[in-house]
Amino acid sequence: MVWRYGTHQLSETDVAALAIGDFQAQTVQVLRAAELSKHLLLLEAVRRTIWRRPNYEGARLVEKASRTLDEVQDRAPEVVAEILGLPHFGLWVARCLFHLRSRTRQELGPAWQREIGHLATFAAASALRIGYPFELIVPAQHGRVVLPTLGTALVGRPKSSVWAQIRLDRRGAVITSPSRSVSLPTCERTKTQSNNPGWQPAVELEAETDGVRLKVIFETEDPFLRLLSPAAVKPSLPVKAIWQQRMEDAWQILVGHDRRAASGLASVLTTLVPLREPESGDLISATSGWAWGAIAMSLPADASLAAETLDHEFHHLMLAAVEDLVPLVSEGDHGLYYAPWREDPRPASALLQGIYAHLGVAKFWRQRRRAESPPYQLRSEVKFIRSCRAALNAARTLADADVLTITGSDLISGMLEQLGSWKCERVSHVADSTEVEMSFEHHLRWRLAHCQPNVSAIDALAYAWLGDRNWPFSGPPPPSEVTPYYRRLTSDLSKLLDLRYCEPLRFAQLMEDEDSVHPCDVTLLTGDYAKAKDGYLQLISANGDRGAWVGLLLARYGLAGEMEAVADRPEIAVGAYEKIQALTGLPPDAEGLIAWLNEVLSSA
Amino acid sequence: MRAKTATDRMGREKLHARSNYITTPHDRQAPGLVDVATAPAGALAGLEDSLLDAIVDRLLPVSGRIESRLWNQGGACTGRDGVDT
Repeated sequence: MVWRYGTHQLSETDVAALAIGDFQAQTVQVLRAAELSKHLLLLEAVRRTIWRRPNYEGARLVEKASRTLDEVQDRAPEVVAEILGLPHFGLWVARCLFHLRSRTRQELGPAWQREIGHLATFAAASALRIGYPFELIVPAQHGRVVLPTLGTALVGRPKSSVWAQIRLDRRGAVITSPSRSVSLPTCERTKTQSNNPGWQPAVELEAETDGVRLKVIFETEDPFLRLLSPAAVKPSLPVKAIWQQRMEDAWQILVGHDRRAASGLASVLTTLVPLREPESGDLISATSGWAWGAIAMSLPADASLAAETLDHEFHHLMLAAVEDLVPLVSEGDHGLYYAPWREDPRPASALLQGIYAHLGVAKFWRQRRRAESPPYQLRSEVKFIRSCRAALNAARTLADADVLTITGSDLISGMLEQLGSWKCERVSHVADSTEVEMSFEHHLRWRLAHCQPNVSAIDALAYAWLGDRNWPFSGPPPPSEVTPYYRRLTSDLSKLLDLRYCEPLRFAQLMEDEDSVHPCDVTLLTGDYAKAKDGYLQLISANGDRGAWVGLLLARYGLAGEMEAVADRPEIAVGAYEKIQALTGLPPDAEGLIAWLNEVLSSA
Repeated sequence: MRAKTATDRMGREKLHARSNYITTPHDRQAPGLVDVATAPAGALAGLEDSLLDAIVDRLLPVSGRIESRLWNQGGACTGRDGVDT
């Protein structure tokens, strides 16, 4: 027989639906199949790359594991599809190929033989799942061998890295290292068997609401998925129980929010990687286009935040699958852009991902705000309008940048239309002003950190301010260059603004703690803008505190009730101020300088 | 476009790969993602090298990094094994 191949395709209608977060079952199925194809094609590329190096020791390992996979696929293609469709496999195969393509043969030493050898763990898991006899050699990392979907065999000391033999024959399944033998479950129905010494069965989380069922691997062992974050946790039983409850509650919200999207998520999400909560207390989460089907996240404080996070990361996964099918951003673009939800400048492809995820967040809180009661209602409103405006502004930036492909442009057009319609929806005055203040603070801080003003223009402004008429001065400075972390500055304002609406009780406690919050920030956050302005001016003149410029411009906004020209480009004000101080040895009058710069910049 | 393949030699399923290209707005052609999701065991051995290489080149640019497709919020991925985004 001749096997004829086509290509995975999305129609314009599919793209239009995806652009507004409408996840039709058929489209999700296309994307799932595409991701499996991607994994299979990358594996084929790994095989061929290694076969071109016949003397490479890893070639034998790959050949043997591939043969086992082929034999299992002949008998149970659905099992191999499940195993090779896992994010564990996606991340492994992408890492292997990146390294194989970027390194010379001499550099593929023992460490990489071990990495390549992990293919055998996927082959072994597939064979064990259907009880198919095999014998393979697998690498044990930190004394552990993870067999995806089945569990982990403890075959050596935690710090040891050894090879183990794994086999299934008439006597049963066993894995043997130089120091230990562990009996393994042999087929699907016994995969949760936990009474084998040295065997830890895979942990799963399940939730079901109105017939929509979520079932995921609660993954804490896989050596590749751990690369998603340094903060992976080793959960105990009580920890698992807390996660189980949080997922059940979140699932109820998600199914109620958008049953179709929840069904899509249920069919895509195979693996949840729990992360340790950072000291900051912030919720952290991550997805990767290479680990398709996995979401890594710390334990959200409540069910709404858990549902939001799952939805946010689901959008990343869906767009990742689309960009595997068709390029969305021109390869030639190396620009860095402002993302109102990030501290760092982002490339176009990452900005597009963020816009899409925040479209999902806006959609989620738009609906959720109607279901929640105070004080969570304000949180919902702020999260809705903040995500909506941030995504809309970023989408406009990207649309104007002329860096998108036809499909990328179609997607952004759909998103712009959707976000534009939500932007006009009414929110409370408190939510609106909170969002404006937070967005303004973020914009100021980001520009001060990453925007490098033109040196000649700053010199010209400084000399003009000092009255040197011989210095050429020809109006407003050219656009600043985005230079990541050009300036380091510290400010607690963003965290405080966040707490003020998310956790009002904790915010109130902090405000009373003089050791935790700077007095200038307290006066600003309590609305005493005049006093706050004087305080920040003093910090700037006394210490050259760059973070204080954020507070100063916020206070000036609070007093005037409108944005000033300098606020668009605060790096110009700071650059000129510091240059003047360097030339004269004295701090200039910051407010006078701002007023003058407002005139200069407005004349553009 | 029929390829003489390793699978042919093994007497297993033969393969016919159709080079299906998608066009980007920059007058450059990129290979579509070939649908092999339900291909039988061993059938991929017949896929043309040039087509597979073109697909892999698009998916994994040689100058690319694995962390370029890592999206995180709250600083989930800073500080280990080059996954800082």
